[in-house]
Amino acid sequence: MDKNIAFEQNAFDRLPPDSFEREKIARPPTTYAQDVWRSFKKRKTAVLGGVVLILLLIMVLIGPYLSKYDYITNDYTAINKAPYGDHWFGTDTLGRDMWVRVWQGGRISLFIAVVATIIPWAFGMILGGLCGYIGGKLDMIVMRCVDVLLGIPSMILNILLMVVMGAGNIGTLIIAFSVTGWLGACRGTRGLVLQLKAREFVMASQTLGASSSRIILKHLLPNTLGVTVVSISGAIPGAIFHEAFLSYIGLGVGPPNPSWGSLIKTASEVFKEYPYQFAFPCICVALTMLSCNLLGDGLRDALDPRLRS
Amino acid sequence: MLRYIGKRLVLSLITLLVLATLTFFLVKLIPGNPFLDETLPPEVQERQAEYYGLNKPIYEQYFVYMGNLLKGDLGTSLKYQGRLVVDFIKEFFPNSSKLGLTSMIFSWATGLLAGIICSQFKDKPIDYILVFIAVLGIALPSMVVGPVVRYTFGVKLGWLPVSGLGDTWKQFVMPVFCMGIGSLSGLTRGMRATMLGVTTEDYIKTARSKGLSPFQVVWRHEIRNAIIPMITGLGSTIAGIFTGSFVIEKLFVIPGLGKHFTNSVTALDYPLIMGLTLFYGAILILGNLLVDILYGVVDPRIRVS
Repeated sequence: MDKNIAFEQNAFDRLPPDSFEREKIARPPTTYAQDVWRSFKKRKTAVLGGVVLILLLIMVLIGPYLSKYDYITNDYTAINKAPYGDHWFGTDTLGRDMWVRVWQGGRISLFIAVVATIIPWAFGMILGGLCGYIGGKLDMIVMRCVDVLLGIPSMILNILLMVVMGAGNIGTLIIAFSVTGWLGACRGTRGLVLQLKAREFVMASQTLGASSSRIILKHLLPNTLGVTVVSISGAIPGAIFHEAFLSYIGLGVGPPNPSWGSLIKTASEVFKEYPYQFAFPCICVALTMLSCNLLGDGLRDALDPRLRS
Repeated sequence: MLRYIGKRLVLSLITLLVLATLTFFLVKLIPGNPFLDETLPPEVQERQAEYYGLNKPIYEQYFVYMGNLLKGDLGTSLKYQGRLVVDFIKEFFPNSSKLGLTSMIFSWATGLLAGIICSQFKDKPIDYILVFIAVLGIALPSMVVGPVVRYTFGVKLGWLPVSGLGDTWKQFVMPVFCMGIGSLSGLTRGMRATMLGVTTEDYIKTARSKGLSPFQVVWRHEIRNAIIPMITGLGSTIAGIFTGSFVIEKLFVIPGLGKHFTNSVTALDYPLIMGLTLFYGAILILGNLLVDILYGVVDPRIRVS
């Protein structure tokens, strides 16, 4: 050890009381949203995923109008043509324009995925939240039902429902997904509400005489939002995959409506001869699933401070 | 432990019962009647309805149906006349299960290994490469991977046979890969995350300060503890394999149950669809039961809660 530690001459002088300006707030406080946005921006892959997703959404919305063809009219003079001239993605086995069909299919696939995720999630969240908050008999009965229904694989239940209600309809697909989709949300939200209810800030609010509705709206709901957004961003690619799967085995969207799944199914039968018909919807599905996953990972890290590494 | 197993068992049995009941009533909801043929005189229709028990009240039909299920009678196929659904299962399920088990072993072995490698070389090139592949694997459904792989390695390069099962081991390679890639990717990411989570635990510090070699710390303490939470993923792997088999068996012309399921959907062979769905559902429920029990055996904390 160095024994000759040199002190500066004024090292032991008394400091003026204000020298640290410790009362001064150095920078403006960050709100939760700013904090989320800042840590979200840091993840380049997540931002990329978001950008790709927005681009895909724009294409799905305006794509069909950019071409002079529509997704349903056959042109028997142009069957199985590789991309040329006005047919930017070529034509399919029935002479329909692939560009329009891919984007129209995207509309249907994404519409189903989003609606069939949001509706059951909203329902499951409300029911699960009520169960967690009220507890008692309602909680017991609902949770036992959820336990049993969650035991049945969702894919099996979806297949059963599609067989019974008749395949080929967008509405029935949404119903089938909704029947199975709310269960996870219900159980998840209930657990979260149970956890939050026991936290100090809720107790403080109760002590101050806040009403139930205020506690639910001001404390419980905002705190479940982060987890919910993350779970939904994970559920949407799952729904896209399920739709594609059901369409592939012939229980999904029926002709003449295209969806990415049904386009892949039709094209995979002629994959060897006309690979371009297969490639375009596949690229779209892969890009969507990829960006949803990347975006979801980024959102999870940004929204949930406990998971941040 | 017994209490835990008992609880799980009861829950699974109730789930099975609910599934069977749902199937029965959903089938009753399908519009139409198999004997509704205007060319047949009403007496014949009546006789048929009587023979198949369709004229009995619905609750009686339900009990007959449940009794048949207990005896293992899942009904008769409409398209293949006179063939029992059970015969289909007996004939084709072995192929499917061989394929399914192989791809399960493949995806678990490779996925866990890749996850461990990633966690050991965190933020190194190999980690990035493997994570990138895993993200791609999640984003690409088997109906996209399947045709591409089949065309590239089967048709274009001619390395592997494009169809069938059971003649050579080569026929397994492509279907097993296509079916396993999804869960493989999920497992890689999951194992990487849990391995990294375990590293900061106190018992790892203890193991290090005892002077164990890095290999022993990883092998005896990190991997063992990281695998436990992965076991819950087994259930979804099994489900994923079944979903995959519907697509892959059709694509690679494998005489399995999945291919017949897909065909029966196209042929609107309702009894076959329902019978097979029920069979798949039962297998998945039992699979989940086994996973739960296994989890309870490996992790004593689960039994208590």
